[in-house]
Amino acid sequence: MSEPGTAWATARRSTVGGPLLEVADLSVRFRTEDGPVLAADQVSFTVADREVLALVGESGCGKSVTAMALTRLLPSNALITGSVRLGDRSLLDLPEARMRDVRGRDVAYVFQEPMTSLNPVLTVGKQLGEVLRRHQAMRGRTADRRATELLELVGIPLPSRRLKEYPHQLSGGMRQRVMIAMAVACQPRLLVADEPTTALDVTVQAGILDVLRDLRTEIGTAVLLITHDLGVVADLADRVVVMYAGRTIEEAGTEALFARHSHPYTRGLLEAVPDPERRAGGIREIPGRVPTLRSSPDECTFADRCQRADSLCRARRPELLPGPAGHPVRCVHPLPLPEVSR
Amino acid sequence: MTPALEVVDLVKHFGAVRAVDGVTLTVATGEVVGLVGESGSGKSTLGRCVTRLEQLTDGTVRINGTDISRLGRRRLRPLRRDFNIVFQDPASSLNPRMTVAEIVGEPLRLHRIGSRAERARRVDTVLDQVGLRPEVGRRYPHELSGGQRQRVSLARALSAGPSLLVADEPTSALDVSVQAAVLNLIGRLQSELGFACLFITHDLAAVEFLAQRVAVMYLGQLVEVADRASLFRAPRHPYTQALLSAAPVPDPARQRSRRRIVLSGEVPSPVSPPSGCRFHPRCPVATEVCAREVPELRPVGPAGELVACHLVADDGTGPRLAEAV
Repeated sequence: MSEPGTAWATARRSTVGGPLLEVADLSVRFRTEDGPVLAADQVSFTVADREVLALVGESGCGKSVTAMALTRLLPSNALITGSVRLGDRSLLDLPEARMRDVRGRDVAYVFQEPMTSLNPVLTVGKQLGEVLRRHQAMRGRTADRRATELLELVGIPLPSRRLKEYPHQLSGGMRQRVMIAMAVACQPRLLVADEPTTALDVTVQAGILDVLRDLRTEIGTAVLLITHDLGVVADLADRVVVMYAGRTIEEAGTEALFARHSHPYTRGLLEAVPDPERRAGGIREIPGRVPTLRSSPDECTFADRCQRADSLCRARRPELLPGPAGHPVRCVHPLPLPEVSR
Repeated sequence: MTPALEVVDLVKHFGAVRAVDGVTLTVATGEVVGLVGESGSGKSTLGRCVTRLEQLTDGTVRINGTDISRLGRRRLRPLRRDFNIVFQDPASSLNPRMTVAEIVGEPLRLHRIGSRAERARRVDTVLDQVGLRPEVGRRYPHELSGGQRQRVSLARALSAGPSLLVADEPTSALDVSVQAAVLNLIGRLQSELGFACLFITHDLAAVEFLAQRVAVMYLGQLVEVADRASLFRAPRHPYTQALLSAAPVPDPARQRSRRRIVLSGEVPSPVSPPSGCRFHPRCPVATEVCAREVPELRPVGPAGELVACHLVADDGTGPRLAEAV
C-alpha cells in the first residue's frame, strides 16, 4: 500500500453520519449448570469516530462480556439480545462468514495477556503477514514492508529483526506491542482493548498508553477501552461508561466523571484508590460484594451496598437519566454537585 | 534497639539468574517498609529469602537479632513462630481440603501453642480481628470470595503472633474496592498488633498509603531507600523518578498535565546485568562513569536517604528528570 494511512482512513470515514458504533439494549445471558446468569443488562452506548470510550467497573460488572458480545466472540451458551451497529451494518444479524471479515478488518481486539493470543510456533513476521494476506491481500515484499511499518508504529526498535523472532523471545511489553500492531494492521475503525496494560509493569504500561493514544492521530482508530484502572482512564479516555452488575450506571466525559460524578458507586470506586492525603481515616470501602444476577431485578442492584438507599431504590428499576451534573446516571438519589467555591 | 529484620548483602542466584544481588535492608520493630519494583526486580525472591522459603546463595538474614540465614529446617521451625508471609493469590496458598478454622489454627498446632480449647478461642479472636465472623471458620476456601480468602491468609499469618509479616503483593489480585478493604485491614492490624511489615508491591499508591519507609529495587539491587514523604515528594534516583512519573494518577487534569519520563528499552536480563550501574542503559541522564563503575548505596542529604547513583551529590542534589507528582 503506497498511500499514507491517514488519507486512506479519512476517505473511508467520509460516509459516516452517526456514531461509529451504536450499542442499544444489549443483554447477555449465559446458560450455566446453576441456571441462567445475566451478565449484561440492556447496555447502551455509542462510540464516535476517533473517540476513546472507557468501559469501567470491577470484575463481574459485565464490561468484558459486553465488549465480546459486540463482535460475537462469546461461547455458544451465551444468549445475546439487542442491537449493535457498526457504521451502517447490524453486527448481530450478520452471517458468521461476513462477521469474520468484520473482525480483524473493521473491529480488532487486544487482550490482556498477549502470550495466549499469539501463536508460539510462528514468527512475529509470519503472524503479521497472515493478517495482511487474509484481510488486505498483501504478499511478499509489500507485506514485509508493511509489517516493518506496523512495528515502527507501535514503537518496536529494530523492527526488521523482530519480525524474525518468536513470541517467547519478546518481553511482555513487546508482545503487547506486537498484538496492537496485528490488531491495527488493517486500520480497523474500532479497536477493542480489553485490559491492555493490566499484565504489564507501569513503566511498560506508560509506553503502551502512548501507542494507543497515537493510533487515533496516526490511523484514525476509535478505541473501546475496557479497564478497572482509573489512572488509565484518566490518562486516555474521552468518555467513560461505568458498569455495575451488568448495568450502565453512569456515563460522562472523563473530566466530568472524576469531578462531578453522581452515582454513589462511582464515588465508591474513585475513593477506593488509596490517597495518602486521607491516610489517617483509611481508604473508604464499599461494604458487601457484587451480586450475581439470574434475572434483571426491578430495583437498584447497588442498593444493598449503598448508604443512600431507601425504599424508593427497591421499588423499581432506576432509569438512566440526566442527573444533577447533566450527564446520565442510574440513581434515584444521585449525589449533589460539589460546591464550586474553590 | 534490635531491628525486627536485618538483611545484609543478601544474594540469591537461580543458576545463572542473579535474582537478588547484594541487598542490605533493615525493618525496625513495628515499622512498615514498602519494597517496590517491577517484575523481575527480585522483590518477591527477596521476600522468600527473608522468610527462608528459599536457600540464600550468600548474605545474612537476622530476625530480632537471630541469624536464620543458614539454619536447617529443624532449627528453623520453632523460630518460624516469629515471622510469616502472605502471598498475592490466596486461592493457591490455602489448602482447599482444610476448613478456615483449621487453616488459621495450623500455625498454633505446629508450634504447640495452647490447649485445643485455647487454640479454638484464639482462632475466633483472629478471625474477628480480620473482620470474619466465627461461622466462616467452618467453611472451605472455595466457598469464599477473593477478599475473604485474603483475610483468611492474613489470619493464618498472624495467628501465632509473629513480630514480622512479609506481605508479597497481597492486594494485586483483588478488585479495587476489595483492595481498599484489605489495605485498610493490614494498616489497622499493624497499628493494633504492632508487628513489623515488609510490604512488597508494584502498587505505588498502596505503598504511599501504608509504608513509613520505601525501598526501590531494580534488577536485583536497591537503588533508593527513603522515608515515604521524601521519596514520593522528591525521588532522587532517576529510576525512582521514572517509576513515579509512569504510574497514572486517577485525576484527568493532573494526569494529562504531568510529564512522563519514558524509559527506553525494557528491564535487561538478570542473567547478564549491565556493567556499572544496572540502570545505565535505560537512564536518560547516564554518563560514561555510570557504564563503568558500580554505584554504592550511600546516605545523601541532611536526612541521609540512601541512593545508589553517581549523579546524586553528597548533599542530595542531582538530576531532576521531570516534576514527579
